[in-house]
Amino acid sequence: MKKSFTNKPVLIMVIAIVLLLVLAFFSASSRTIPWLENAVGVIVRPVQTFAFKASNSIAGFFSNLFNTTDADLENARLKQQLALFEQTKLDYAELAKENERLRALLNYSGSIGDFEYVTAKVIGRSSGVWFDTLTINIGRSRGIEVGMPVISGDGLIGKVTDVGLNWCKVTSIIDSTVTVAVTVERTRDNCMVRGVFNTASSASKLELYYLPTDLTDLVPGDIIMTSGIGGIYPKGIRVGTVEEVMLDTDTSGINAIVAPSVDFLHLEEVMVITDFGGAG
Amino acid sequence: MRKWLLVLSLLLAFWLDTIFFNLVGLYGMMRPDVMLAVTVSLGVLMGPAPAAAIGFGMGLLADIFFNKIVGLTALTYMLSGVAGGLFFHKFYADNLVIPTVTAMACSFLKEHILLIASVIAGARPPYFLTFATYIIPCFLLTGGVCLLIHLFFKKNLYRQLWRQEAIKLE
Repeated sequence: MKKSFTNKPVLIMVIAIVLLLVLAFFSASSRTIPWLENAVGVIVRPVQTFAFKASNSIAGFFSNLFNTTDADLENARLKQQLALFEQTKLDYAELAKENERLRALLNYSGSIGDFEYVTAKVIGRSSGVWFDTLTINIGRSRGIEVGMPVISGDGLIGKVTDVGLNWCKVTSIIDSTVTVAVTVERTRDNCMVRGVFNTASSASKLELYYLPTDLTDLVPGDIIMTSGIGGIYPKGIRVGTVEEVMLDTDTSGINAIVAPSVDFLHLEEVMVITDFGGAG
Repeated sequence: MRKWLLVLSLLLAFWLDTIFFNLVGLYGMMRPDVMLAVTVSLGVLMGPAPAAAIGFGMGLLADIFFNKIVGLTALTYMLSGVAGGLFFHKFYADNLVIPTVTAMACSFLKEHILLIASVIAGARPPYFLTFATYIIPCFLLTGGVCLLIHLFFKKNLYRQLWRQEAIKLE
């Protein structure tokens, strides 16, 4: 034992292990990036952006090798248009319902969607299945702060959990340690979703739970939106679609499996909501 | 020593692990841990101290940029370098079983450290399902990649490392 403490390499190793464990402990909670992390990030971020773009090009090249016909391209374009149309239709339905409710109550207090956004590119992603974090190319220099909600054209992505000078990390809603307060768009029931731990398939899912009403009320195809409860995310952002309703809630407490509206595997651009004054 | 080759290998490993495998995917989420394989192989060829330093540096960079908890990957890669270094000068560099099995064991350890961290953070992963569908394929793939990397390093780096050792002894 005494020899271990006089052995310089062992001593350095022990100190390094202790320091890394302390770092891991403190970094487990949301915080702004310490100066050392920040400095490394500022220097390496341009290289990282270039590497990610190059990788995308390589992946795109191989993808195009097998996907070059006019029909494929047309199909991709039509799918994009359909998604846009569905989002517009959903926005309209949501606004109409909200308007109806607020007219009935005669207590209008504002509507959703009128936020300021900063767009960003995804430049990296956490490896492995244990956590799901995205790295994007904007940070404190663009007014980004911890807790700001992040969305894409398809719906909710997550929230900012670490901020550097010109980059930040976003913990996505498919991370199995994250929960989001949501509403079933058709029935207006409030409940929660959290990420499903997923190893076998590349398509991530969400678990919907704490649904207060009768299960039969929920059907596959129901749309799930953020409820705004808790103040972390704005109300009315699309989260996903109910895929499967679970009947054995007594044992698992899960009411349904939800397919996220965002394709987390092919995210390239996101928007950070910078003026949402929630509790996030 | 072909330093440029070593630097290029480290950069390639970093790129493969943090960007490429995320974009292309293999089957589901399973993937080899190339940086860990490189660290173990360098440990066997260069000794524990340089391998631990390399593992620490690459792991910390990966943590800072991509991972939710900073320090855990650095810790596991550093320990992997030390684990590989335990066999430095104790076996012939031709022995491929040692680095392969060490890389598999280190990958197994790394995934379990991250599993514990995720449980502490609030996740409830189904252990046996995760073990069967993710941890086992990952450590098998990592062992396989380490075998290939060790073959490459042995061919391209070992002779010069051996010469350096010989000069030191003189």
